Parts: sequence; structure tokens; C-alpha cells
Amino acid sequence: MDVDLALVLTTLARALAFSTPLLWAALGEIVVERAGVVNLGVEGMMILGALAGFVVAQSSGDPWLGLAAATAAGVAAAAVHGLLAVVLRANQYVSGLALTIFGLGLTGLIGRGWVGRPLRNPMEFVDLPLLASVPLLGPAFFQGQYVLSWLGLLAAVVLWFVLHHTRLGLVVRSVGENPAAADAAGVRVLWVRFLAVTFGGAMAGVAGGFLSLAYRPSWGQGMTNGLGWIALALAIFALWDPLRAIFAALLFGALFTLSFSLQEFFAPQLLTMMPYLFTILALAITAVRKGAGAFGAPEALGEPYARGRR
Amino acid sequence: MPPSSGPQARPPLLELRGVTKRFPGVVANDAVDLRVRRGEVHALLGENGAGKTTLVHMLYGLQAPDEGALLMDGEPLALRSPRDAKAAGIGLVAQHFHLARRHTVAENLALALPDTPAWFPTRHLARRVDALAERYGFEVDLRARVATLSPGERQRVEILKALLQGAEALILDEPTSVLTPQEAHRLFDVLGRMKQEGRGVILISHKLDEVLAVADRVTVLRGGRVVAQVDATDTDAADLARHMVGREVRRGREAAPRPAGDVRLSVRDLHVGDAAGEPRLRGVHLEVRAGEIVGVAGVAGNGQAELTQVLTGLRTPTAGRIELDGADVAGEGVRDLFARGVVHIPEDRNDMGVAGGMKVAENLVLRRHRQAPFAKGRMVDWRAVDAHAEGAIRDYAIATPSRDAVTRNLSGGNVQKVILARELGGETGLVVASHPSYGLDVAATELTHDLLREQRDGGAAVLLVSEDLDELLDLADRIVVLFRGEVTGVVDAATATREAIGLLMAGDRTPLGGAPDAPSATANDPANDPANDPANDPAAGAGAE
Repeated sequence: MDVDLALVLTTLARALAFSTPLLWAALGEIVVERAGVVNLGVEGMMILGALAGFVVAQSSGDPWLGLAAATAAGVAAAAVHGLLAVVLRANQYVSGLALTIFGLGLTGLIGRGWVGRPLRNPMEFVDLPLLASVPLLGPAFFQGQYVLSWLGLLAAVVLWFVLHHTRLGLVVRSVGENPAAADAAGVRVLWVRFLAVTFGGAMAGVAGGFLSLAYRPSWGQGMTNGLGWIALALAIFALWDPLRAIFAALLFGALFTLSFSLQEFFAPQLLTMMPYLFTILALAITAVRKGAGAFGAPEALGEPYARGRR
Repeated sequence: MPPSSGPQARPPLLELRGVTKRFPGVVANDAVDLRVRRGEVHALLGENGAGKTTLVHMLYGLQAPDEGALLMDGEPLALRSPRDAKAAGIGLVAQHFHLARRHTVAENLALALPDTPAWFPTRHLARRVDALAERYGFEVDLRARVATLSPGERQRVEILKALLQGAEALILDEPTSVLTPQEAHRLFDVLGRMKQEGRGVILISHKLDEVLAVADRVTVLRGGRVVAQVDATDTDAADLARHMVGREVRRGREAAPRPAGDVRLSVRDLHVGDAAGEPRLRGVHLEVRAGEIVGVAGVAGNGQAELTQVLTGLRTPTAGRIELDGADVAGEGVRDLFARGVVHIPEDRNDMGVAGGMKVAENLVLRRHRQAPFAKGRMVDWRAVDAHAEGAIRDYAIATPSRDAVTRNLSGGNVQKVILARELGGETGLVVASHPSYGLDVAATELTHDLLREQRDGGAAVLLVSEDLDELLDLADRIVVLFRGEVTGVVDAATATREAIGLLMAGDRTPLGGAPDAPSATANDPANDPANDPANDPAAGAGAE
């Protein structure tokens, strides 16, 4: 019994760490999609963030400076998508895909000299005062975690509040639901959408930086390993709600963790397949629930906005 | 120029002086002068393409005039955005509502208001809304999601939005197109209330009767110019129509030359459900005889779309019988029904009527490309197609650069002509026409109506679905009214009043002598004695067969 409890607690603890990049990236994408833009470049923005973060942290010795660089890299990459997909109204899907392929390629090229060298000063595990001593919850979530994991949870709550209870959030949601209405209300639709896209880039940059600065403090080509795509699916699975994103990310984190710890019982390929299989399942469930009409994507999702068109 | 009803010293609320707006290849507004006084409803009348929309866009800061000046209370006004317009006290209720459907009413209002608090944007709204709603006799549920509201309720949200923003001049673009006559009356009451408060209303419309009923002054636009500016009391419908079109316009009913023949279409106890299993048609009975036009009236979304889809084979009924010339055709597909002479002038002409990216010549034969002379074995005889296209373009006066032009680039009226030429050009038994004149100018509407009458006179059965009551009253022999998927009544178009149809459209069967919430026996039960009300005997009798 004690062993089982310990296993559950360590699984949860690892799930939180693993879910952190998923949560950050998914939160970013939720905001982007709530503003009516699809950015399939999450993977690309993450990997750019991971490399930029690693290079700056390695050179400066400060992982937080690295994180700032990762954020900036994500913003810069997202700005390209914002320019193409929002301002110039290019095809959002093509532009986002291009961003992902570009990010993976560019980081592969630039990062060659950095491969295999461990980061000299990575982010460390810490205990959160007070909460760490709470029984069960403490060992599961508040002992030996990265600061970014908690900040991610906090970000989710803050974003939920902002989206639903502030004027800013109302504006962001409105440009995603009915940009013409927002335009008529005097909102600068393209500007709001562009900023939302760059915000998503910042969040994806943090997610990438977390990987190379904390979770696996090193640089490896393609080290995001498809997490960006799962984050995209999570945004949908969470029905574009930041609070639901916490649980969705933790669920996926737990699945990944289990796929490692149960390797002796099942074929590892089967287990590594699980999260992706689950992604497909999650999308199907969401689609069915959407059919029932209660939830759904922002109405103008994926539609470029130009004044005067309907 | 304005009569001396008001003190001349006071400048008009809103004034346009010599406003010109050009687009590549067109002058949308040419030296337009317009004066809207406080306390008046000023109608802006004109056909599609007359320049009404551009004018509204300039009044609302969506477009800047190339020349001319805009004045409010005598002060020059430069509008660079809707925000400027609203700050100046100009409100717009657009034809397509600017509401986020998944937001609540409160959220939509908060989005539009300039003084919305940064935190909890919808707080304090209730108090302000309640005060206004009471003054204007509104009822508004701030927490309701817009998607759950009727078109009339959505319009009230839009008006409320403008009033909350302190609109002194309110522009309404085709406001009654989505309303029942009763809802329209409620709207006019609100406009009257605004007049009393000294605000100004600009009413964009092409419905002459409505303009004459509510407007104090009328400005008629044609081809971007002001062709008339008159007091509503000094004019009549024929006069206004002549100004709009630039020539005499026929109006009114033209009865069928001979009585209707045999029953061609008979629909009995028809039930249809939507994708989610919700009933959309519930036990509909109707019949259309050869040489007869039967109109279908109703507020959008009460089953008209499902009815036309079932009759043309686009949707399968869940229960009921559809007989065409005596044969049961329920459940037959589009191609089978077309072979039986069912043709379709669809509601959404660009999505359903034509393949926009294909040539005019191709669209003209789309349904008939498997028949002679267009098919040669498994191949298409393009020479026959082209020859046919040349003929149709000439006969229907389709304005297109060539038969090879991409159909999408034609104007709405010409796209409709392509559809009419294709659907009505061959053998027809049942013509299902859905909103055939929606968005068309007067000339194209006339042509459409003439072609439908021609079909009637040629012995076809015509089912005409429309939200335009005038169209139905002018064209149809009988009018079937749908409400929530049920027939609430069938009336004789020659004697029916708009008010009676309006009540039926709202589900109120009192015009037929029934209790308001009585079961649908009067209209739907074929065994029912039609004579509930002697005055409506022919009408009710027709409905109950």
C-alpha cells in the first residue's frame, strides 16, 4: 500500500514536471485561438526558444537570462506568423506549418556546435515553502519541482481570469468570435490578433526554454520531439479554457510518465504511442461534444479578417 | 429647401454636402447632399448598387469620402473610424448584426461601450440597461447568449447598444428584413420614441410601403446620385418606385389567366428532423396544383429551408408522403426528382446555385450535362454547350463579358439569371423557388417574377418560399404560413392582409378563427372541417384541401 502510494505520488510529481512545457505552450495557443488565429508553428517556436535559451544560458551562465532569450525567440518567430497570417492574410495553416519546419531546420543547423554539451548552470528543483509540507499534495506537486511548473499553473489561473473577467479578455475573445463586431466596436482587430499571436509565441518560447534549461538541461536537435503538436491538441481538448488546460496537461503528463515507468510490463513502443493515440482520441471526443452544441471553437477561428468582407 | 417646420437657425443634426466617393471603375456616391433633422425619420431609398451602403459606411467612419463635407449640428466632422462616429453620437444597426453569438448580451454590450471598466466589464451594465429598456419598452435578458435570441431580439440588442453609446443619429440598414410585421411595428414604436426625444433616425430600405409608413422625409438614390428628396406626405409608392428605377414600375397582383388544374404536388403529414434529431417540420400538409403559385411565408428558420430541401431531394423526410403527379417520391434523390421535372432556385445562389469558379457556359448546363444535346456518349459536346450558352445569355440578358467568364465574378442579379435560365429553360413540373428575389435590384426582381408567372401559366406547379410578404402577396395564389415547422394557416393571397399573415407567422392562429394555442388542426388535419370562420372560408378551405 505504501509502495503504491509512493508510486502514485512520484508519478504525479513527474507528471507535473512533464506537463509544464505542454501547459505553457497550450496556454499560449489557447489565447491565440481565442483571438481567432491558428498557429501550427508551436513546435517551431518551442525549438527556437529551446536553442536560444540554451545558447544564452550557456554563454552567460544565467538560466533566467536564457529563459528571457527563449521568450524573445518565441516572440520573434510568432511575429513572422502574425505578419503573414494576420496582417497579410496568408493561409494560416501553411504559414504555421512553415514556421515549424523552418524552426526545426534552422535550430538543427545553428545548434550543431552545441549538441551534447550539458548546460553548466541549469534551473534547479526547489520546494515551495508552506505548501510543500501539506500531506499528499505537498509531495505530489510542491516538493522538488521547477519554479516554471508552478508559474505555469499560476499563468493558467491568471489567463482564465483575464479572458473571462477583464475588458482585455473580452476584446481578445471578441476578435475570435466575430471580428466584424469587434471592428464595429472600435477594436483594432488585426493589432489585437497580432499581439495575441506574439503572446502565444512568448509562451511557446518559455515552453521550449523549460526543456533546454530545466527539464533536460542540454541542447539536442529536435529535442521538442512533437510536444508542440500535443500542445496544439491540448488547446482543443481543453475546449480553449485555461483552467481545463491544467487538467488536460497533467493528464498527458501522467500518461507520458507512466509510459516510462511501466516499460517492464509493456513494449515501450506501445507505451510511447499512448500519448499520441490519446491525442487522437481526445480530438475525436472534443469533436463529438462540439457536435452536441454546448462547446465549440471560437466562431471565427482560422478566418483571416478583412474589413468589408463577410 | 426644407419646409419651414423647424426654426431655420438650427442646423440639421447630420448633413452631407457634396459627398463623392469613387471606387475603381465606379462612382459610388456622386455629389450627394443629405440633411437629417432632429426628431425626424429620414428614409434613404434606393436599389442595390445605388450607393446606400457606401453612404452609410461614410457616415459611420468605415470609409472616407473623396470629396465633400460631413457636418453634425453644423460642425464639420472628420470620421476616421467607427469609434469616431460613435464618439460623435452616430449609431449604426447594420443589416448583419455585429454581435458575437457565443457572447452573452451583456458581453456584447460591454464590448461596444467606450467606458467599459477594465475589470469585470459587465458589472454596472444592468442598471443602465434597465433604465433604457423601461423608457423604450424593451425586455432584455443580459445573461442570455446571443445565439439563443430571435432576430428581433438581436436587433433590440443592437439598438440598445447604440442608445447606450449615446447615439443622437441612429442609422438602421434594412431593419425589417428579419422581422415579422408585428416585430416591425414594435421597432417603429421605438423609432417614434427616439423622434420624440429629438434624435434623428436614418432608415435604409427598399420597401416602399414601410418607408411611407414611418419616414418623415425620403431621399432617393439612384446610380450614386440623389434623384429625389421629398416629404413622405407628398409622395406615394408609385412615385418613389419611379424615382428609384428611373421609369414606371408595375406593381400589384396579376391573377392567373385560368383556374388551377390538377394537383401536381401533394405533401401529407411530412416530418423532417435535423442532424441532431430535432424536428424541423412537424406534420406539414400542403398541395400545389398545375398553374398555381403557392407561397410559403414565415420568419427565417421556421422550417422553410427544410421544406425546400425535402422537396428537391436534398434531405430525406423522417415520415410522411410526398406525391408528385400521383407518384410517391418521398426519399428520392436530387437526380431522380430532376428527371421528374422538379427544378430548384435555391436560397443561397452562390453556394448552392452555381459553381462559382466555373464558366458561365458550364453553369448553364450543370444539371443537364448528361442529357442530349449536351452529352455525347460519356463525353460533353462543348459546341452544344457553348451554343446553348450564347442563346441563354441573349434570352435572359445575362450581363457577362463572355460565356467563358468565371461565374463568381458576375453580379448577384446575373448569377440569378444564370440559375433561372438553367432551371426554367427545360421541362418543368414543380418549381421550388427560395427567396428568388432576395438582394436583387428592381429590374432583376421583375424578370424573376415574370419568369415565375410564365411557369405558372405554362402549367407548372410553383412553390415560392419568401420572407418578403409583398412578393408573396403579389405573386402567390395561396400562402402557406410556417411556424416552428408546422403550418399555422393557409390564406388566399387575394384577400389576405399582412396583419393576418404576420400573426400566423408568430404562431397565432386567431386570424383563422382558432384559439392562439390551439392544436394545429385547422391547417394540418385534412379531415378537419375548414369552416371555422366563414370570412376565411376559401382560405382555410384551400389549406385543408
